[in-house]
Amino acid sequence: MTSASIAQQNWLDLTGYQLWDLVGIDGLQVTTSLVGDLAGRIAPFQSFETTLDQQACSVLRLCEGNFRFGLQGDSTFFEQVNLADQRVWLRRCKQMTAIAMPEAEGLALLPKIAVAKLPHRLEGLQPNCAAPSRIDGISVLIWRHLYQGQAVFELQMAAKDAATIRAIC
Amino acid sequence: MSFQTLAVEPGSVRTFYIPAGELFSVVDPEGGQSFALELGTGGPLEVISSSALALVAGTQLTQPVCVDSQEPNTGCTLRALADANLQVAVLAQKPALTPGAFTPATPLKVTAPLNDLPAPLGEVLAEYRIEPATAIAYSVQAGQYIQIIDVEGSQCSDFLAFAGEHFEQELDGTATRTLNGIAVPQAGLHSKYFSQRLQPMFEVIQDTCGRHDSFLLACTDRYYEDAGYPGHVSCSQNFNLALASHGVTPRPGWPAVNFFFNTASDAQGTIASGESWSRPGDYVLLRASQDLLCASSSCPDDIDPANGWQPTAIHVRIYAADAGFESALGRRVSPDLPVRLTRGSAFTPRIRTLTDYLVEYNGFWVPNSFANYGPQAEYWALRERAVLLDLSALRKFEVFGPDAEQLLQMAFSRNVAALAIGQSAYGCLLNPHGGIIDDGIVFRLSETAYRYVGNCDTDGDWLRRLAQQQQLRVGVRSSSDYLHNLAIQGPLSRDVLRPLAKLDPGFAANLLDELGYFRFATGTVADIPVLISRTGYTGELGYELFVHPGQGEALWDALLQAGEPEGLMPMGMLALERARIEAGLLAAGREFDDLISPYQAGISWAVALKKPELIGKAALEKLKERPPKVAVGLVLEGNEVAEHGQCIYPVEERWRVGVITSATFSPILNKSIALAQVAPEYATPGSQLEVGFVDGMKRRVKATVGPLAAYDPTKSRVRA
Repeated sequence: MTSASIAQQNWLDLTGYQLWDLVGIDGLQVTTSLVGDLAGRIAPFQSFETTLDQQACSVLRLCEGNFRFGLQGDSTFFEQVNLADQRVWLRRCKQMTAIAMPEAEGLALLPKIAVAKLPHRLEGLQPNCAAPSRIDGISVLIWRHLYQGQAVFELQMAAKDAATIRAIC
Repeated sequence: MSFQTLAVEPGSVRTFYIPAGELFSVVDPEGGQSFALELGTGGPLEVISSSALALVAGTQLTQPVCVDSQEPNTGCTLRALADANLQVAVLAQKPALTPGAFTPATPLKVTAPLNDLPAPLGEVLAEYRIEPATAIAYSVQAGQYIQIIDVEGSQCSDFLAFAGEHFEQELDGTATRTLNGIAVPQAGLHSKYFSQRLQPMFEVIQDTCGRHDSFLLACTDRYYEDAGYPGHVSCSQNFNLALASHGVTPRPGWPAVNFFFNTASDAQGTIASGESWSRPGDYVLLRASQDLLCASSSCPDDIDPANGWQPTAIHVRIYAADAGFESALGRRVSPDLPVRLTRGSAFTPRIRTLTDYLVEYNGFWVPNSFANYGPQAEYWALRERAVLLDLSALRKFEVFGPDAEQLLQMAFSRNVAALAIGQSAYGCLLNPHGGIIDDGIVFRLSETAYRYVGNCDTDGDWLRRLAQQQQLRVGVRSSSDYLHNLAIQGPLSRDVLRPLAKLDPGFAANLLDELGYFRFATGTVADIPVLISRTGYTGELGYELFVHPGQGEALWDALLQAGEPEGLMPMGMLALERARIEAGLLAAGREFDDLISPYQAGISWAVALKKPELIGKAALEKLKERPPKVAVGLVLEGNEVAEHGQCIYPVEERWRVGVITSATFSPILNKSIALAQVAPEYATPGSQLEVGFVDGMKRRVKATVGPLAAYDPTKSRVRA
């Protein structure tokens, strides 16, 4: 699929949206202490919505002990988390950028232009699920979840690729 | 003339050619299996000898004939009288079998002249013969299939592939190993092969040999020179010759995929080599991921065991991209039976609509987890609600006849004489030195009929051989192809099943709620005939449903639909593995093998040592006194998960006292747990030990000895 054949999307404004990663052997336990037991009930590449410090937050599990937080607004909560004696690291993802499109447009467009890494599937990708994928050979993590109450497809990619992906989509 | 032995499975047809004047034979090894003989043009056949009904020695056959074979090892030998090759088809009939019946059809054994090549898998676009000790180059298009056949067996074949306009992309071993998650070369094939640009070159669709090496060099002049054979032809030089006309720059050694080579590296990385495992007609089937220039060789190595000191021909067939061959691995269950490709179960078509994450397990494709659910959700569905689990890879054997009980009293560790009709027992098959051949469940179907459900095709061979040695009047027949089984497990499983299940009269229970633990009954679920057994492998309340494969999809649909309000979910092997470790349940190759006794594996309670003729009894009596190790459960400090094979040490000691057999993180206990086998002196509950991570010295994690089942050790949930 070439960029010329694809309609331009109505990108959502993600100003103030931040991605944070929490990674390590104790990642599940620390995440559970932050957001509750639901963290242990989802599989890698699944997510749920919660609040952190009274802010909306999406929590995406990436493996047994690795979690990604999509947070709108103030990040001081994360900066103050006490990780003493925990074998994890927690820091803001600066190498990545996120863009998002409304769910209906993503459902129509993404299966046509993106290739998910098996056994993930873009066809029928359920809410609160993500799939590592490629668009024109560029690595993009496609995540279907809620952003500020709106159902979206969030695309996370290396910051250097964001303009290319925007142009393609 | 060489001969081949073909198994004709019930319900299937095997077709082969007989040269004029040549003989072939059909034998019914187990008796009672009727079959039909059909002739192609060019008959007739002469009946040389026959112990089967409807055939008379000395007569000639010109028409199809149906043959009844009543006693074991009856059959017939025939000769082709045609001038040309005569096509013969043998059809083994397959009567229907209900879940409660116990006399399934059995395979026939056909011995026929060996044809040069196996039948094509489909329409052949092109084919090439690679004469011994030569190589060829050929082109294929993206999507086309390449079948590389070892014609006579024990012959190796190197493979190269190039892509790009000027063939600038070539196979890259390091890229392939890395992208497949395998750090070092090892026996076996990768599923997909990549170029140094990380682009897929081809994937392996089928492999009937199961033993290859990947990415050592194709043999070189240097190899032969160092071995004292200067001037010996090598695969690398053969490739240079074959590729020269395509403009590929020659090399002294080509990194290749080495099909059928029996090479391995030991723990220190030293390469060892032996005779190829491939047999006549073994093949690998590849699918090109892009347009490729390929090169294949028939390896000229005749100075070591690689090709059995005798290079022979390799044959290559090309099939169209739309041929649609399914992925499968070949599995041989006994020396004299042909290879059998990976199968799906009756439920696999439904499962494939829900996940692409299927893996080969014991000859079947099984789901590891389901798309949009994942192992965590499946695990919690099991613990809190209910799940469906395809366990059709289990092997089922009917053991019937006046001496059936006597045979099982010898072979099976439990006292089957104590079983009532409709009752089952978990135990193991034992060998003479007290090792576990397999674990499984014996069901008592009638006064003289039992069903053994285990893991291995060879269980039936063992029971049959034992019966023959002891001259027992007992039949042992595989019913694995007639009975596929679906487990519904979890605390709500009974609620899901209750409105659907009707039990036949004649068993101890009339209603599902009355069906006790390790009890079973025939009946229906959603009007589908099944055998319902209150057993499982998860540590939860649950049932196993044995059904004819023809009705498997209907049963799957009915249960998924009925269970939807209760939150029922399909479950894969990843979640099952976690659940079974929590429940302290054994897995073959982990907690037991044929060198490990029940006393070491943690199922001493499953040995009825008072039985007079139990196989291995003498050894077991000694092993019971002090098994070399005993099975325990461990709870580890911290969240790190141990691995199979990691060593266990006393606190602050250098020497070992045991080994981890299985490990996981228990979500419900929120602890890292393991199954382990330790010296009896360290098996006391509450003992402190250390699990060695990394090299066993760099990091040790403390662990506390507990019961084998970390979760619900009293089995209160399965008995609920």
